[in-house]
Amino acid sequence: MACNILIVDDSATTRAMIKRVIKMSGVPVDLMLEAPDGRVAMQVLEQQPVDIVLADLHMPEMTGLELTRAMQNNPATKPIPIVIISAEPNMSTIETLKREGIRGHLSKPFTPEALRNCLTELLGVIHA
Amino acid sequence: MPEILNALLPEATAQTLELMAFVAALPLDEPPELPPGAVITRLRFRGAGGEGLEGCVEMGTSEAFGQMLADNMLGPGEDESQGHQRSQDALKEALNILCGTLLRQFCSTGKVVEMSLPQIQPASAEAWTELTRDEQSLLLDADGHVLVVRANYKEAT
Repeated sequence: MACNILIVDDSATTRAMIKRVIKMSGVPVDLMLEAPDGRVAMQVLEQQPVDIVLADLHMPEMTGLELTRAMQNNPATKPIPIVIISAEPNMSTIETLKREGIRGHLSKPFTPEALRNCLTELLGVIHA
Repeated sequence: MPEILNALLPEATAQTLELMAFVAALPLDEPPELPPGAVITRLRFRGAGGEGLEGCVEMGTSEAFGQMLADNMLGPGEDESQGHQRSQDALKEALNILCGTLLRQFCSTGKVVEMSLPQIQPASAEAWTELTRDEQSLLLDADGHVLVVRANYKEAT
């Protein structure tokens, strides 16, 4: 089953890099959506069916933590798993994010296999 | 106590380059000359939650290396006019990831740090010489490109 993925990062280069890793991972994707920050991500979530959100932590306008809280406070977006992809060095920050509702965390740099395992665990994606 | 970071720097650099862009780096014996299009990217960090420490990780290289990183990460660019921006974005992302990898190990000792956004600027001859002649700097040949990395921090007494 193919999935719809929303990538949230303020760097267009990083979004392109994550898209490339997703393609390399072999995970079947229907729609690959993008947003430069949490605020735009919430607008996308209102308009498009999304199976999983992959978000950066540090972004202008609305951070990954604020996006997590916004999604958790909205019944329509609460069931959608959010995974933080970041270079965050502090484990205490990751623990805080988990308490706030993130379903996973990938530390940069990560391998296509790590991403595939994460998506498989959260979505039960069947690989082609 | 920069020696703690310096001990972690070679492995963090190798891991970042290999996983991010499939680039292998070998040590250089001599300080490299200023390459064409030389740039230095810096990312500062400081202690969070009252920890009195501050530091910086610097990466000196050429825009051509940034272009190679971008090509490896994203595939060759179709629009040559975006080459400069792609190169700078790739270098900033590489340093961001390198710092995260480095400081993740550093923070396993219980420290908590905040990282700034990476800043990039052209390297003057003086800045290049100072960076490359520092004994603490890691001098590398990264798939044919010069790469110099240095990490430093100090704790407030």
